[in-house]
Amino acid sequence: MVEYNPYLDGLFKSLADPVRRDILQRLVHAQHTISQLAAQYEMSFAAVAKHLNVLEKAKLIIKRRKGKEQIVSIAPEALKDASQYLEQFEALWNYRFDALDQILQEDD
Amino acid sequence: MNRAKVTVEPGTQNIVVERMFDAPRRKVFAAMTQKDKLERWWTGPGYTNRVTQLDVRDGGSWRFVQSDGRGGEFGFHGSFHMVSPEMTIQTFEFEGLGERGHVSLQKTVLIETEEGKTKLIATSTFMSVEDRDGMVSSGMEEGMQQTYVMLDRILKEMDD
Repeated sequence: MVEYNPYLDGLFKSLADPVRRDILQRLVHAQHTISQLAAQYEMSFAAVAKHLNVLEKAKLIIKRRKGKEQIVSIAPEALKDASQYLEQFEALWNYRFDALDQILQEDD
Repeated sequence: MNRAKVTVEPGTQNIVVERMFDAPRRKVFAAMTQKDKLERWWTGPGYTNRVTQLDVRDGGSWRFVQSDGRGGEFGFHGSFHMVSPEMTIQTFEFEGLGERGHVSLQKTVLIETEEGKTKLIATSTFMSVEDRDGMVSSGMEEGMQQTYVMLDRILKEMDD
């Protein structure tokens, strides 16, 4: 039963930023180096690197070193966790409310 | 079938659950505040619920224990800040986190329609971990609603 999960709370917050969502969307199609990603945005390399750190902390992306470059790719597991969380939450409440419907149909 | 609508409010830490019930408000309120009725519906698949504490009034408290039938028990408790058929505000804490203090605030509003049905709007406000994580909250206004739209899209693309 999922009612509250601090890990997911952090996960959702890291997804709440439009730049980070945009980065993820690019990573769905292909892995990128940090420089390639930084070139896509009108912000400093350091600012993009900071966003990547947030995504990495939330386990949404994986960084690995290849020669001088760091390669970033998407980590699908965390995304699935987030989506499943909402589905579970919805399923749980539907289950409860269906039971409540039964009670409400009974006489006083 | 009557489905609950679950929304993640943009710019907040709120999750809102909405659902229409084919019964007058006093009946819905009774089912949400009476021990025997709560034990029947405030459960989950495969779980039974035991109400071990229930004092439904301003300043009162509640505690539910869910059992999975295999020896696993999960406690939840909280306080009632204010109680009325129109609006109830209470706190909610899951006891199984191993660390106290992860409390959410729940506001339940019941609106009776002209046809004698009742609309339930339950808002859960969760505590933030972003300050502790040093995360910047810019972009929060964009909202989590889009987050889920994006999630769906990404998950679909990944399945291709």
